[in-house]
Amino acid sequence: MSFDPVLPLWLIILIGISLTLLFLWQENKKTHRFKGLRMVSVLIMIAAFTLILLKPLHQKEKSSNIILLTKGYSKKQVDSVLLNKVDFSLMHLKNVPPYNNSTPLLSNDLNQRSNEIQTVIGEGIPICDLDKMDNKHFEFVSNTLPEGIVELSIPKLTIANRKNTINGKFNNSQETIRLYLSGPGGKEDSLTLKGKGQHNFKLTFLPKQSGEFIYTLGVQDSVDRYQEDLPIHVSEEQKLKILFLQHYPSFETQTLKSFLARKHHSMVLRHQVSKNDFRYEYINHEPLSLTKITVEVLDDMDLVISDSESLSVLSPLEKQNLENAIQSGLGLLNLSYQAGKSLTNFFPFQTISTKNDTAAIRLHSKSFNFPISKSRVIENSLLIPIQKNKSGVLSGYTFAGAGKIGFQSLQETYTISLAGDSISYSELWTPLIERISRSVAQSSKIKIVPSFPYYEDEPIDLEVISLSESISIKADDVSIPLKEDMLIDNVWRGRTWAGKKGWHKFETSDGSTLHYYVSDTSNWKSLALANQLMENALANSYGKTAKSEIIKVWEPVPPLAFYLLFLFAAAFLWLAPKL
Amino acid sequence: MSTPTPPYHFHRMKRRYQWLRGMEVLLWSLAGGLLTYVVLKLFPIPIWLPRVSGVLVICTIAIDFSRRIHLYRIRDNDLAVYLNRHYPLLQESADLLLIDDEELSSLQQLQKIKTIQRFENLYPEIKLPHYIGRAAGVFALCILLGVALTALTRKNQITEPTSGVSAQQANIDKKKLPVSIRSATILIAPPSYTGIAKTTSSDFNLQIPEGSLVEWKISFSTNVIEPQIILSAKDTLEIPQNLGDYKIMRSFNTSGFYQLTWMNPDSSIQSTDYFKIEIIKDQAPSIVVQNLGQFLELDVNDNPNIHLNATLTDDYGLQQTSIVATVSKGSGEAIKFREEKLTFDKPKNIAGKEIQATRLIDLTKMGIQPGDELYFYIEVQDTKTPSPNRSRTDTYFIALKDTSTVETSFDAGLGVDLMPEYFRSQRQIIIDSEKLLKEKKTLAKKIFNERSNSLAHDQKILRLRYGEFLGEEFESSIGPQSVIEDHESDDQDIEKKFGHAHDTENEHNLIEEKKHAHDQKESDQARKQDPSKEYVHAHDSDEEATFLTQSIRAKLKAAITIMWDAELYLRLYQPEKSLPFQYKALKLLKEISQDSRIYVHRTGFDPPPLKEEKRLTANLSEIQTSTITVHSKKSEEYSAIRAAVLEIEKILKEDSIMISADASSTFKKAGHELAAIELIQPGGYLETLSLLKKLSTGEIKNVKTRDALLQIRKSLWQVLPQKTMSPQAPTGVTHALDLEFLKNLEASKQNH
Repeated sequence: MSFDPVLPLWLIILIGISLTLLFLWQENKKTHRFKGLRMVSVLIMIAAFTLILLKPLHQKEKSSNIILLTKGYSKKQVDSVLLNKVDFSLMHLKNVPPYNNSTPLLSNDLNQRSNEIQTVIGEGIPICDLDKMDNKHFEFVSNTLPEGIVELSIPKLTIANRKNTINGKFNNSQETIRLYLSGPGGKEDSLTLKGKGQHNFKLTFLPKQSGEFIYTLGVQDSVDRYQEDLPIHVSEEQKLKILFLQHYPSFETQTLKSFLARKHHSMVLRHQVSKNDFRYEYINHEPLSLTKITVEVLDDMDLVISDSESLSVLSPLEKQNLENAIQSGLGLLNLSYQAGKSLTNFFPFQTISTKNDTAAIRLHSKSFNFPISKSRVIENSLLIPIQKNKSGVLSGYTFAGAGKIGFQSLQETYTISLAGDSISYSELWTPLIERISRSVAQSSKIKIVPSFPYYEDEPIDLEVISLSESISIKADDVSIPLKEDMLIDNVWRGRTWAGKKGWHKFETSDGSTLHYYVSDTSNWKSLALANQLMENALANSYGKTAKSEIIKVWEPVPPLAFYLLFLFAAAFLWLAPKL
Repeated sequence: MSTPTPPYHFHRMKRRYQWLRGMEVLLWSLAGGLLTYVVLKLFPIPIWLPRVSGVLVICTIAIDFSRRIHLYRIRDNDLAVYLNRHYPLLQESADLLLIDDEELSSLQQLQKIKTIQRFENLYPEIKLPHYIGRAAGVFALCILLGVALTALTRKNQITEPTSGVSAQQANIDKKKLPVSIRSATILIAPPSYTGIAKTTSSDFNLQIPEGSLVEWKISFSTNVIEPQIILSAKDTLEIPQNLGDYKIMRSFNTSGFYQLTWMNPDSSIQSTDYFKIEIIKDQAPSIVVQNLGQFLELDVNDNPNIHLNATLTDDYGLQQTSIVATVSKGSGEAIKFREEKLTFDKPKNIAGKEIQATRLIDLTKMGIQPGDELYFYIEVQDTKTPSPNRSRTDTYFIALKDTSTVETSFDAGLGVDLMPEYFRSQRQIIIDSEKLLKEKKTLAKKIFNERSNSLAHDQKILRLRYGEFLGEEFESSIGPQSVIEDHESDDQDIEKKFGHAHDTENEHNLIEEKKHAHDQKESDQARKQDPSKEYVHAHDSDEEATFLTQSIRAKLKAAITIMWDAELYLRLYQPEKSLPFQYKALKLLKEISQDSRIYVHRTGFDPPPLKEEKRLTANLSEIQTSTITVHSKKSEEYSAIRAAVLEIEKILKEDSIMISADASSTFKKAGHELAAIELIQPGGYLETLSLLKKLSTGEIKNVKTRDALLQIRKSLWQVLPQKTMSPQAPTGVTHALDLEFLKNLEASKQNH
């Protein structure tokens, strides 16, 4: 037995004794009946009063396992969990209303007691606190997903002048809801979601220039309307270096060259005039010696566009150089090909002859008919098609080492450009060229581990893949310490805390950057909560099951008994004179 | 309650009488006044005169009429006299009712009592004299007349500026004036040929006909220094002072915008908002030929008189029109052209905005004979000065058929005969069908059927050949295909066996045929996947084939449909029923060949003469390696606007909006770029220009700055052109593990 007195013990005893003496003396003075009983009643009354003030505690054995109540917990859920886990300790996080005599658990103690947390009920432990826990293995009784956007995928690389897409999931509790995406120029896209439940959505936008922009993703229902700030970083267009090896100039290559020149790509063209005579064109490129196709020339290029005639006349050394360059990452695009043994390394596709010599495709919502080579590439698991229709694959590529070899079967595509439809022309050639081209080798790559959104003063974990042995990173000019992964070489991890609302930047010592946006705490609540629920649900896989231990805890004796005693005693004292 | 006494009744009657007659007076006077007002409005007199006259007439009639009928001097005795006169039952004793009993003798009192009784009985039926119905009728008539006359009211009333209406018409509404400008008048004088009178504008924003002369007359409330007008952010003109006001005139042919600016006495420069000048362009006249198709082919027996009806319209007026006709005679290299300029028969003089013109073209008088053709177009000119707008119609073709020559189609000027080789065979099929019919009686039935069938086969081949132009693939038959090897040669054998020998002289000029044959050797896998593939054509959409224009396609489709019918009856051994369809098909094919004919000027490249001594010598010594270096300038379009967009983004993300000096400078530059765009696309960005100007001068206060920035950003974003996408170099980090993985992958590929 122990006590938890309201006032100092000596004071309580003093008060008790004083009151006892006073009341005993008063009762003694009275000449009413039941004197003895009245004295006893006085003693009981004062004793009860004293015990109320003393608040006695008794020891009880309980399991050390904790049921942790988090924000938004449902009382029904708690009660049903307690039915099976009666002896578990019930605790609640800070700023969470207590329930059923639950005791608070400070976030600082989370890690120490992480082994004891058996069940978490509610919205879950905040991600930043979850991160502090070594052992995150607990049963999570979660709330239902909040209404609103619960998943969001922003494109990692948003480039100007092309359509980019935002994907996500919306949890709808109303009949009809309208989502719209607005940008600097007004509404970009919108859609209507009908019916309750989770709906996937996709919204597209077309940024017209590079920079950091705040788009808004709005939600409108029959009653309310709200908007979320969606940060979009639009990157500059990167330029390619392309080498054209052609036997003779053709309309097709000239139009393609003009299209790429308008986009300020760097190009070198070589046309063979006679056996040893060539015609060179350098567009946005310094002249270089191209009589022989050397390793140095090819290493400088991102893509080689050629045809089988030009490739077949290369010397064995040039062919070997080209092959090695492709293995190292160079891209090769065959515009016209004739299957032959000597070109297997540059055209590793199987073909079949067809009688169809035209192909119809859709570009930019329009239909076009083009002549096509009669040899059609057979689709297989190694071939990645880029353009295809009912008759087969019209353009595509395959991997060859670190590089890619691709082909384009469509012919006379310059007709679209001549007709003035530059949008369709770019839509036809851009995916093919950029997917075959050499990847720009970055020396390091930064990745933010937690999902968007990021709030002020919350931790942001980074992962950096770097080829450099001594990499360093700064967050807005503040250095962040990095720790290399023990098992995987060149992978570094670090942590920083988000600054104030707005755009921020990570930058490595070798020039790689990553822009991110810190949102206002009032934004993206549903998404943040959905992330938190997911993290808590995933936490089950981390760590080991909490061990159950028997612990002794002090619990207060219910004071109701003392009150009742006090009441009955006082009532008798009042009633006695009347009897 | 006591019953009312006779005097009471008399009072009531008096009141009723006065009311009735008063209404009558009112109706008469209103009728007179209204008529006066409406009549006077017909005349070009000051607008106050009819009103005043009308009021005067009303008052005069009211006063005069009231006086005549003694409206306010009616007494009870007068009523009594009236009653005595009109109601004999009262026995001339009505006046007794007005006299007190003390003043009457006993007999009079007795009479009075009797009279009272009679009066009480008579009272409900007493009718007082009035002509209110007549007055109401006249009043109604006057209203109708007034309405009818108002419709004829002339518009050339002299209006004087009153305190409200006229001031707005003459001057700009004071509310629209900037603070420092006391008054402003803008006079617009359109060019005289438009026939539009001079007007004044009630707004600084102007919408004026092309070539109008605009005069600004501005009066400032303070002393200003060097007021100027800046036109489209380019031209700055000083406004000279003229008798206390500032006046400037300028004519405009293109849309734009302007702004007034001046220096205050305290050396601060003040400027107004941007105002737009929208030019209403003088449109070119339009010509609609009503009764004639573009291609007309006449037989020899047809009426050679062609009635040409055309509607000519213009927004301001027409002045001149002509029909330019060209007669072509002969064919081939002997063709000759003669041009004539004709005029319309009606009307003789070309004037007005809309003219219905007619002309009778007599082909005989023009010397057109069978085989000749007439091409003409109508040209019209409007009244615009100094350079009138001209329009012309498409060229209309009238051809007089010459049935004596063989129908051939040959595109002069082109070295290649683009017509398919069987084009001429429809006529051959017709000839053979007619021949077969003639010989029907002499031929055995079996032979007759065989020949009919072979003609049907020819018809089918012809149909299929034409079907190639519509993008249909060559089909051998419907249903599962058996493997046919060397399909082409089989076809040719069949043609030789059943077909007709036709002209082969031109074969070397024929373009290569496009053989579309089914891929008979479909893979089993494909057949299993799609069993219907045997029955359908897995080819590309024929709708997208673009060999021929739409009208020719329709005709060709119709011809092919007719050929189906022709073939059907030939297969049914009924060539007599097939012949009409064959004729129709031939006619359509001829029309198609006519439609595809165009005349162009002879152009050509005359290459330099070849040096025979150098040809085929394989001497490459003069051929050298050539190098071309091009550097495309990477100048960003609308750089200032792009910078402004980014600046706005930077400002908006802050909680408190602050426009720094750098930002103001950026907005100013963006404003200049936007002004240039406004000139090209007038009216679209004036509001944005105005906001940019206000932002850069700090006129917009804190609360409204955010909204202004959002609006500017939206507008600037819309200005930026949408460029086509450009290939991007993909980025990535190649980890050592990635390279190792790729190496092993290649090795395993090679092992396989």
